[in-house]
Amino acid sequence: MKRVEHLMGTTISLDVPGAPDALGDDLVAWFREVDDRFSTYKSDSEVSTYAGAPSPLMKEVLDRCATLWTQTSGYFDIHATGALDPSGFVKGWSVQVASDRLLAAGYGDHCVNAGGDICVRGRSASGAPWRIGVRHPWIEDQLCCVITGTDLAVATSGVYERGHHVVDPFTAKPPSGLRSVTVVGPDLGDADAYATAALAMGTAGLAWLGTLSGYESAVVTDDRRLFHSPGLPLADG
Amino acid sequence: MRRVILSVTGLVAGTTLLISLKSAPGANRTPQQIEEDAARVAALEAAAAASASPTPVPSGPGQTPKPPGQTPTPGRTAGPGSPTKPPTNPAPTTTTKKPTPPGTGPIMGDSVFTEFGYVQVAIKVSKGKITDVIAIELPADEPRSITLSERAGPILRERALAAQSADIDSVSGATWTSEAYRTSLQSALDKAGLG
Repeated sequence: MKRVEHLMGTTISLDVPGAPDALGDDLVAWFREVDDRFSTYKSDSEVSTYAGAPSPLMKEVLDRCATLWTQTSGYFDIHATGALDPSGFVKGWSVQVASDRLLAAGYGDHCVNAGGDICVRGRSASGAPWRIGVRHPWIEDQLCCVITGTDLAVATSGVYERGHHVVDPFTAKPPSGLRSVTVVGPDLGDADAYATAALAMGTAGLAWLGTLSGYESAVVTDDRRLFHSPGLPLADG
Repeated sequence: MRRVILSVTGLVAGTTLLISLKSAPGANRTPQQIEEDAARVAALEAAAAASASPTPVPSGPGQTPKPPGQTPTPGRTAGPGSPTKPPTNPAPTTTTKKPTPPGTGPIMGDSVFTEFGYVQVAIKVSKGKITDVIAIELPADEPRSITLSERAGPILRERALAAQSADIDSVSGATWTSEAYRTSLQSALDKAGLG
């Protein structure tokens, strides 16, 4: 089953070898629910109308974001722009939930990509481990590295993106120093938030990423240097 | 006095070590110790220069111990008030790492980034153990004096930034808008898969 849907202000690509098309409907329904609840662009969404009485899903998101705020020394801040905006976590988290549901339903081979945040498990239809390219931060149709594996969550945050602006919560200004941050690890919600936080830290984010346990990273700086953690599963070593 | 702790990884199989850079080496080191530091660094540099070709010391601009325009010794004597080397901020370079035979000359490490700036060091290995460290690239306000310390966690390594196309299943990138998606590599992949 392969499917592409435009939802959550982005594009979701599903690739589940051997799965029936109906499975795609269930996943799309999930992403639609996430969009209805967490979109900052919808005036009637729960996030837009939030007044302190969270739904179970909202409570889960707010709790996770509070933990991430602490883990990132305040650099992952869902209040950084003033209004409540957990988008930097919700996109990755919603893909992780979809991937977990696929696994629970017996589809251990899949790739779910929402706007560049990816969960892969098992193998692709070719029978090989999944291969994830990281977009080159200056050349849209080229890659700067390729990551491979059978159980990966890959999130990228970058200043070249449009439609979502990362700000340094301590200055309320766009950060500088890092062009693109990719974080790879067991959970896409956390990876997404870590990538956003490192980008907000600027060049200090490079040293901070090196301190993360269980999460690997690849970073391209504004002065065009590529750094990666020693354990990053690069396809070319 | 400020101390900067750096770690160096991947130089010898599985080895990580901490290096402490003292920002004011004269503050609590005796003149004799400072002279010993300077002599030690000078000796290692001489050894590095002498063994440059047979050992895996790359020749890229970012890994030249003395950048053009810098006088050879004063910046490295580590005395109080001595000038410090400006940070070289070179074009992306690659490093070569090979298994380390016992007793070889200094081996260049990866350039890494710390909260204080880019840092690159070379190590001297004897009988499989790291015996000394030379600073190749340091933040502008950090002087030469380096001491080995205990082990630490991993930090990021540098590799050359190159544009590539490859056979992939999916693309990770900061592509939030559907508008951006339409012109993206992921869009091309999806079209190929759905067509």
